[in-house]
Parts: sequence; structure tokens; C-alpha cells
Amino acid sequence: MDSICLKIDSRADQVALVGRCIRVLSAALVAERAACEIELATCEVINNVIEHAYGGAPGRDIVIEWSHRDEGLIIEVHDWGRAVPAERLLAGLPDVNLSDVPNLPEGGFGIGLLNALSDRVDYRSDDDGRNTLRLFRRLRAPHGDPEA
Amino acid sequence: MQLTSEDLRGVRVVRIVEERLDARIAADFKHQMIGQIEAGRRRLVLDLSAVTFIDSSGLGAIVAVLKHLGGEGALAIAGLRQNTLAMFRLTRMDRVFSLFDDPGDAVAAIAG
Repeated sequence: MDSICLKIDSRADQVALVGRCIRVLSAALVAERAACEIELATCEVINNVIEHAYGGAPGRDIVIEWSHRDEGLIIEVHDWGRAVPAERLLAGLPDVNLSDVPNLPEGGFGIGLLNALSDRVDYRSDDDGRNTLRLFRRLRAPHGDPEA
Repeated sequence: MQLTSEDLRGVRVVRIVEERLDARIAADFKHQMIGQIEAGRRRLVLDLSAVTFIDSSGLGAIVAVLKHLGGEGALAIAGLRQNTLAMFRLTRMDRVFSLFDDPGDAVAAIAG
């Protein structure tokens, strides 16, 4: 298993650094489009950590571990902030009522995108205060979905 | 955050000169766009051809701009790339906004 660990400060201007790394690392194993989807899912997780776990405060650590095994890519995002209620992570994408522009959702897409772009999402909070969101993206068989 | 603007046939064409429309700049982008609407520019084309990455904050900001028009005027999107178009499709926003490959086509579609 190959793996790499990245650490950033909890600031919005740091997220792109991780996103670009994740995309390039992933693109060695999956199609470019899938690598971009994995980048987006990872950035949504990190944005969520900055906004909710750390309440927008800079100066806190966010650690991102990228790894791959035969069956897929695993990205773990660790924080030491406020834990997310488990039910929040089950959200799908918000409804979009095309005929009701005044009530279109402006937020709430992040977790839905994460779920839509991942094959599996797990979350745990350890006794030492560390929270971990684990994103799994399956590697398709060589003759499988060309979009993989 | 950098935007450039030009007026074509009464339509304000706003180009984002950034690779990423994300949480870092979403609030600033929304503020600047709403400033243009408040200044009377109610027919807008948003040229995203330089943008390679949009996250949910960026998408939410674009939606907020559309909502700020309050049905008086138009906001068309031009220049989406494969990845950014995929974001619009996944969230079904491709059915909310008028999308064009070329900014000139978008101007022609919404010019008064």
C-alpha cells in the first residue's frame, strides 16, 4: 500500500494545495475526470472541517492521508475540533425546484457531493479528540467503467 | 479575487480571472457580482472559461447572484469546462441556468 500524509492550517486559502496534490496523486491511478471528482470530494470535506469542526478559526491542524490499495483509493481527513453529528453525513444533494428560483438552495451541497462522488464514507471520533472522515473510491476493473 | 468586465450590447460580461471558484473567494465573488446588479447591471454573462474548479461554496455564490436578480434581468453562464460542467450537472444546476460554450452566444441570447 502506498500512502502520503499532508498537513495544512485550517484556512480556506490552504485547501487548494491539498486539492491539487490529491488530484495529481489520484490521476496516476484513475481517469482524469475521476481524479477531479476525488479532488472535489476531498476539498468539500476540508471546507466542512474548517467551517464546522473549527468554526472558521485558523491555526488548527488538518491532516490528510491519501493511500491506495488494490481495490481503491482511500482519503482520510483528520481534525481535532467539534465532531459532526453522524446523521449530517448521510445527506444527499438538496432538491432543486427549477420553477422556484427564489428558494433555490445556496448551500448544503457539500456533504451531498461527497456522498455522490464517493463509493463509501465513514466517520469516527476517537477518545483522544481526533475526528476522522474516511472516503473510499473504488478502482474499476480494467475492462469496467471507462469513466473510472 | 480578480474579475474583469466589459459591456456588449447592453450585457455586462464578467470574467473570473481565477482558476478556482472556491470557499476562499466565494464570498468576495458574490459581493462583487451583487455590486454590479445594484449598480444597474441586470443582464449578466458569467464567463467561467478560466475556471477549472468550482466547489459547493462557489456554486452557492453563483446561485445567490441569480436569486439577487429577483427575476428582473438574466444571468447566463459561459465557458464551462468538462469538470465545472460536471458540477452543474451533478447538482442539477445545468437546468436552472442557461449555459453556453461561447460568451458571445450568451450575450446574443440575453441582449435586450
